[in-house]
Amino acid sequence: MKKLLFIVVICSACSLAAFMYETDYPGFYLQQISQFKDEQQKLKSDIASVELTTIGQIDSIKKAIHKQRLHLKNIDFWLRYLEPIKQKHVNGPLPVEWETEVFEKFEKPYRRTGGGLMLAEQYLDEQNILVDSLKQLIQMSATAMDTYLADSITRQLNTPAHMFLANRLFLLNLAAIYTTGFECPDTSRVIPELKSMLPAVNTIYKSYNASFKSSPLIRAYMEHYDRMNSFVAAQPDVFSSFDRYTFIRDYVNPLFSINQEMIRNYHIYSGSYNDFSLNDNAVSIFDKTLYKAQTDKGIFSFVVDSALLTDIRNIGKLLFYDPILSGNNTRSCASCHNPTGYFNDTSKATPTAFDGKLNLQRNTPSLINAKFNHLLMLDGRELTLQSQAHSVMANPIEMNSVSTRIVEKVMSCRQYADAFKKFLKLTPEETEVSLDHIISSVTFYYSSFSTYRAPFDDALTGKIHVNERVRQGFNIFMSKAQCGTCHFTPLFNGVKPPYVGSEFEVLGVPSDTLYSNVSADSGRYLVNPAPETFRAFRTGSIRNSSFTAPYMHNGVFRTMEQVIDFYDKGGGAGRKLNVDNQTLDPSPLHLTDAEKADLILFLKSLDENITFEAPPASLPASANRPWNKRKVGGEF
Amino acid sequence: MIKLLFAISICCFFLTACESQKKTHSSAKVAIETPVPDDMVISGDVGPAVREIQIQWFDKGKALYKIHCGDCHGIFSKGKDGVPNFTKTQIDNYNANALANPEQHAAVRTMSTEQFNYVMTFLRLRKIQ
Repeated sequence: MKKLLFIVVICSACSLAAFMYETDYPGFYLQQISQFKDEQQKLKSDIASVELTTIGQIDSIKKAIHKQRLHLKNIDFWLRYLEPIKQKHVNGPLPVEWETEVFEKFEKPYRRTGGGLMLAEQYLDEQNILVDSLKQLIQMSATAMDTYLADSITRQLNTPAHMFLANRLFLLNLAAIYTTGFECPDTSRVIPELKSMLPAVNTIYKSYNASFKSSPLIRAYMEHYDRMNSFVAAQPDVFSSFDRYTFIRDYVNPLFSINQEMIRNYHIYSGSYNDFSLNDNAVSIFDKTLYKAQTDKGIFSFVVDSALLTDIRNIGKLLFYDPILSGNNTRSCASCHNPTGYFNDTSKATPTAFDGKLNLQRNTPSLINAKFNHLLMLDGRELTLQSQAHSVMANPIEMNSVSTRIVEKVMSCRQYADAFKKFLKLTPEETEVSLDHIISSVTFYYSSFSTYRAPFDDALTGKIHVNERVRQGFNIFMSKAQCGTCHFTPLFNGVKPPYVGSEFEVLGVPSDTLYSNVSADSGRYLVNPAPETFRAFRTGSIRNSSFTAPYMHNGVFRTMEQVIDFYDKGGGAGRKLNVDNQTLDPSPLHLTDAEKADLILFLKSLDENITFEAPPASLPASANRPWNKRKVGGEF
Repeated sequence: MIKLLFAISICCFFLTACESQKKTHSSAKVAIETPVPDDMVISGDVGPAVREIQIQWFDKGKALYKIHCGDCHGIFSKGKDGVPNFTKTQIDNYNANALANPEQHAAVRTMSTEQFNYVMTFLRLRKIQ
């Protein structure tokens, strides 16, 4: 009898222990983090014990790093969401990054250092490796890991919210980052790492579901996740052969959609700036409301009445074509941003200056999809669409207006005056019609052309089928051609998940097509002087690129072929131009002619089906007669 | 209206300046060109041009605050229990991340960046009894 009791006690103790282990999700997290930390210590002692003089020794360390990166993928799900800045110490892509994310826009850019496994691995390929430098990179990653044990972070694991928000980021990264080699210099390891990551995340899900029975990841999600897992497991390990098109269309995007549904149904709210831009109501990654970077309504931000918004837009349209906004009443916004052709200027590499003789330094960017950037202008010096518009109007070599006179001139036209007096009532904080009202109507007008979809969006949401070669082109874009590591899915601009900042790159764009010199433009350096920002430019969107030639910041290339050739040969540095801080890999891509052709077909599938509008027939008459000579759209 | 551009670039500067100036109580020494609102503190030796911007932003911020924030964060009314009313300590400790909560801060997420700045200027320069 005693024996029986003993067995019963043991059994119940075991099941209790198993039960506790099963249900303790925060415990599972701590266990995973500690295990990773132990391995870091081992890697550190491995490095301390070798000389790093022979290829064999270097290879053994490389293998150890690879092994740790695989393990990192088991916990990256948490790290990236819970503390993104520290995550860059664990596995950062760049030694130094200058950032201004969301709330930081009004502050000076922050210098953020990266470290950890990816940089350590790259360092091993350099000549004359110093053991101490290598140890330092690993140490940085070890120190950063301590943060993940801090109370402020671990307490988030006690409530369900973080799971769905971290999962959203994970899914967005599956579409934009994890398959591109963005953080994995050895491309042969990208797909194997993905293959080990997906089951690991599944384990996290299961542990979570066991602990949070009232708000689980629903069955439909878990089942579809299993299907994704099987799909990926059956894919080849070869970097360029992985079918990203099907992966995103059939698995990542539907899972994203279910996750958004769970966020809404469970009333999940975030306290993290990581989620600030993201829209809980977007049903697809390819929904243009996925994230918000700019307020296109500006001062009219609180206006929701559609009739009033139409009025504001109509006035904005007139103003867009109206040279009254320029100093001499002969130039309008439409002079460079052609509203019947993708709001850019395809006729010139760089536009004519205000004096009518000289040219400006930079190409006219399209205003379509401009609102999806956190920073504006090619050097990111403007923070809002409204300040961008104002800076062009006031610039002596662009529109050369005197800011204080614009309101007076606009209000001299009765049609404008009546409208703005009406709009003034919509902004109770303003006492009189200001330049902000004028500019906000303009930004609201042109931003309304940023809502259109491209065939590729429809294809990836399962609405239409695209040619097999477009699918091939997308795969090349995301893999061998390395385009996807800067032009991020879904907007294919320089804003990556969680879509809180704009990225800048140094490409070494030449001053002419003969590659005689690097373009002399200092780019981002003019705004934020630092060695890393010299000749850096904000990454633009490649949507509508069939209609946005000429390309690059100085409009040096006239055709897509020239642009692809530029990247194929490794940018400026690849052509032996002196660009010592180039962020683009200077080694050639070795794209075949067929691959380049497919790439172009993919780019064309990103041309949006925009309905443009005819210009206004006339402009509002002014009380000041000489101003009535002005022409719709200006004269040059 | 150069102010917008100019003001954005100096925004951070004068907000910090205002903080440090408050501590040294040097406001009495500042030459004032434009009369400031009764409920605004004079902060920093910023010169008349910036002062004018401060006043404009303060007034706009106050108006926006009354409409969009005041119902919960009581300054002009009772407010809600447990919601910060932005006393000196609360504004100093205020965590910008809290704004990311869309249920409670739909207004902030709707506001333009400039409008948000006006509100913050108002809160920072408001005289607190």
